[in-house]
Amino acid sequence: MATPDVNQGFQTEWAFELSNAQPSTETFDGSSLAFECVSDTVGVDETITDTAALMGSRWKFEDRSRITSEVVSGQMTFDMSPALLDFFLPVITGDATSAHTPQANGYTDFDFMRSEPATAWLFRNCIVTQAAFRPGPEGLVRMALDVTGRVGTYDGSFANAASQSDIHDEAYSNHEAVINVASGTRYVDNWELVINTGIELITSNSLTPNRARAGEMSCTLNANVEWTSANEAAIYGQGKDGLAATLTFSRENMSTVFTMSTLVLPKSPVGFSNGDNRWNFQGVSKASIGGSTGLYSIAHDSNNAS
Amino acid sequence: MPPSKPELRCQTTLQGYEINYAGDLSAAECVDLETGQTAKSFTAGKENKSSKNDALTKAVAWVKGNQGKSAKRTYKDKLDKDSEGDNGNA
Repeated sequence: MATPDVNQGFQTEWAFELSNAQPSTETFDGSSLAFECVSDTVGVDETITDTAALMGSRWKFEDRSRITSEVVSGQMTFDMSPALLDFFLPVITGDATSAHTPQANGYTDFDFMRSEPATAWLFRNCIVTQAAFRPGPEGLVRMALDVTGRVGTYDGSFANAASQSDIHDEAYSNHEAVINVASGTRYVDNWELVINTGIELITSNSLTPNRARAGEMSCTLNANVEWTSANEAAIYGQGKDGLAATLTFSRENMSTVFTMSTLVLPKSPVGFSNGDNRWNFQGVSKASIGGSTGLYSIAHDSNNAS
Repeated sequence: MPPSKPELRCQTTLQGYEINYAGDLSAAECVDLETGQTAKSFTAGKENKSSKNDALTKAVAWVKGNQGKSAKRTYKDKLDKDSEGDNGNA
């Protein structure tokens, strides 16, 4: 009996480095960090544009079409571990040290390599446009990053180069989360924290992105709480001053505290159907003009987990 | 006129302490959940330029350090035993 061919998809590996320049020339070596993705759809998207000539045809012609842009984009999802946050919180916020706060000017980008058995892809100058934190289906907390970058290249010569440093970190579990809303710890079945960085890569007279533009950032928290009179009185009706909400993870001597000090809830409570007496609220974080409160902050201490 | 005291609007719970802190992380206080007393207060400092020294980070570090050093602390053990995986929601 012939031996069937084996697709070695399980040998996919990743390696990460912060970008060193525009464009980045960062090398991957023993200091590269090997985080494992739960899913990764990042790739190069070509825009192949047809001419919109009036004297056309009922079908498109390849000879009239042009590649007008090439952008790296996709989503990477990880089980959220303290060591992973060490690397990505500076990328998400633009702030290198804890407590990480969103930076009005400047951002941090990263390079990563995805190694397959036969080849490897290398992506340069990637940024996070949106980071979403939520519990995964099996209880580990997940972090989904919408990623866009400047260039992606493939080359068999860096195959398996991603196997650099093993990180045996354990992700935070949802049972390690404490969610405090309006000065009270709440029972929360499900939650989602979404940070939109407002950073956009643009192409200015270039096939690939060559400039970054900073737009409006946002931070929202979705969570469901028991719809009690106490919860409703504490959480709803706080007007434009909103309420404070914190999301804290801790394990041993590692901790991560997400703080939104002015979370505004514009919509009154609406219950679930089927008699489930829970209320799913969405809060939008605000900052103060004087800077006394920021959009959000993330105090993170991994205690150098590895 | 002395500067007004920042409102400790944000709150989290960590290892037997409630940490109340200002939204700009300029001030924080740790309340012992066992006694209800404020055990330690912090303000943001700039004594070490390599670090931000915000009050929340100081408070978190103090709670972790205090847990490890104090032989008298039993609240966390009690909480863990009582809650059996619950996170101590009130």
